[in-house]
Amino acid sequence: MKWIFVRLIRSVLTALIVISLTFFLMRLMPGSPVEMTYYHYITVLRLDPEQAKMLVKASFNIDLDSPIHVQYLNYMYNLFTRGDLGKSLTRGSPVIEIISNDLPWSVFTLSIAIFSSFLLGILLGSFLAYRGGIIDKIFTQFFTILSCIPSYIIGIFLIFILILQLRMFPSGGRVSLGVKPGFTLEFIADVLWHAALPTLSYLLVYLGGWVISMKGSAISVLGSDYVLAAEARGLKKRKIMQSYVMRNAILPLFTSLMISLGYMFGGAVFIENLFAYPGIGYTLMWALNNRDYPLLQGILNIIILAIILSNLVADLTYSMLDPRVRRGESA
Amino acid sequence: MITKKIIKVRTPKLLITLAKRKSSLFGLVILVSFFLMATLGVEAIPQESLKRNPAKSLLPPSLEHPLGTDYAGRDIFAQIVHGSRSVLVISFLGAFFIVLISSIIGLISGYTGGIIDKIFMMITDIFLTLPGTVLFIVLAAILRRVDVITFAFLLSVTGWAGLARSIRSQVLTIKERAFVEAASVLGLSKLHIAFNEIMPNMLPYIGVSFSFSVLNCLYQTVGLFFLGLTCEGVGVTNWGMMMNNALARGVFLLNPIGMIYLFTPIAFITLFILSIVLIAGTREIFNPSLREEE
Repeated sequence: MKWIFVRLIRSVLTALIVISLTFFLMRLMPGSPVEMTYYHYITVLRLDPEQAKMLVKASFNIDLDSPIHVQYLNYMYNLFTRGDLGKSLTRGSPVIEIISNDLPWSVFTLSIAIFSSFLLGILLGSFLAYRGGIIDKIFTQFFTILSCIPSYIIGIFLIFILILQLRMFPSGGRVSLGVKPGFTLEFIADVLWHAALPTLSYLLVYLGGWVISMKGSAISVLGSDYVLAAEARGLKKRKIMQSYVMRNAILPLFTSLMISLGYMFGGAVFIENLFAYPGIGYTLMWALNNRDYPLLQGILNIIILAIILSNLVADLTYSMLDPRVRRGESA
Repeated sequence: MITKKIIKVRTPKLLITLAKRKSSLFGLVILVSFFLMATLGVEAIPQESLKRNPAKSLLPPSLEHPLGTDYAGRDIFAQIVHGSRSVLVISFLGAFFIVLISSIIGLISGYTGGIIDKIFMMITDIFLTLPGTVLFIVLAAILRRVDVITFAFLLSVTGWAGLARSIRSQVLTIKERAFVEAASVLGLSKLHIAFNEIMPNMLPYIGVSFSFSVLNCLYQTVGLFFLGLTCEGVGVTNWGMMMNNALARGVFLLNPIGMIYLFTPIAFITLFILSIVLIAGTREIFNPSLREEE
């Protein structure tokens, strides 16, 4: 139990450090976003300095008059007591509201894609390890190359074939205009229809990596003594594969699955912008292009928190699956 | 010492092994032609062909324009060639920085152990929680006027941590082997053991990591420009921008010639990926012990 406690504390500390990093990044970088916004208010919107400071305070949760460490403490205080990430410069609403509006859509598409690519990858990977021969060679090569192709190129091909040539899918958005939200068949079908292409591209992006690592893992398990023993006992190859090899080979992949759930939003930036699918990655680019820095900072923090959380979950669940880890350090 | 001799022999052998494998030779040829394109090609093709010229818009491929022209009358091949330099330099420089930082950190951390190891790994863990691609895009977009070297450095800042960790764990296993023990019995300095005894044994791994870092840097750089962000220090013409323009203008919807503009950069990126995969895929290039068996 002590181990879990230490791990928890470490995650909280990491979160604190990283969120502080983004704060100082936004505050102290050359041409700092905070200053840029301040001067933007003065020169472009022609506000007087006092008014500009008030607006900066409202949107960034930063009081420019106070020294930096006070600003920092205030920011952290607001963040942790009220979940206050400041106000969006361009949309006027609180950042946390915008994020909680966009995040579910990204989670929806990405998690479906990651879980299904994981399942497919495990099946294909163990099949290739089991099968061997020329089929294995060809498909391994294919999946290696697939895993190296950038997501946006996969996305472009999907757009080109499925949207432009076959006109099968919509060219953007979450739902069609005029479809009312609710638990109706029409709405659900429409949501799935809009999410199909982003999801399919994520699936293709992640699939190659899962297949290759599952195959590698399965092959290393195939070489172990208990598999040899099972073979000597005359068990069928299929049986050995299912109950001896696959189960053990999935174990190391499971951690990667948990971790990739945290890092998934990184991939969302390209795909969501390509398909004009309004999720967290789409809003991130919107914030960048419109220089909406409080929103940007908020999204960065949420993405980082997701990563820290997934790393924590990966560590904890893995130790449940494999008791050997619990004793050692997390290295 | 002994290892030094191995390094001396290794260099020409590396090329020989590379040449022996048909697939990696093929990859090497592609890569070399990319470098020729980025060095000689950029000098050979004048800047004028990058200028907008509405009269020449959407010409089919011809002798004068090998891949035709885009919607604004710019030569597509010239854009590919001029765009190749920044992409290549950033990818390789970025990967170099990544490998350099992570080898130093991983080596020191794994070999010295103790408190230094703890501190280094704490820093590494913090960097590991940063979302690499996202942070890179944000930094590059905020800093706008970055030159190629800063650009590559940004890539490495967000990308070194994972590799540092795995190099450290490799060092931990190599450290236990007999020749390292022998070297420390001989009284050689820690620095010497780390860099002259352990490091050469890591080369195969570092080599493969380097090539995949190149791909990763390429992926992020092109992606940044593909999103429509620009960096003044890096130059306007590059492959990501071409794809962005082609998609944003949507010319290829109306005119099939417009498709050339969209698919040329994709083809060149794929070719580049292929060359790196072919070279790196043959592990024995970097690993003399595997090579002997052939």
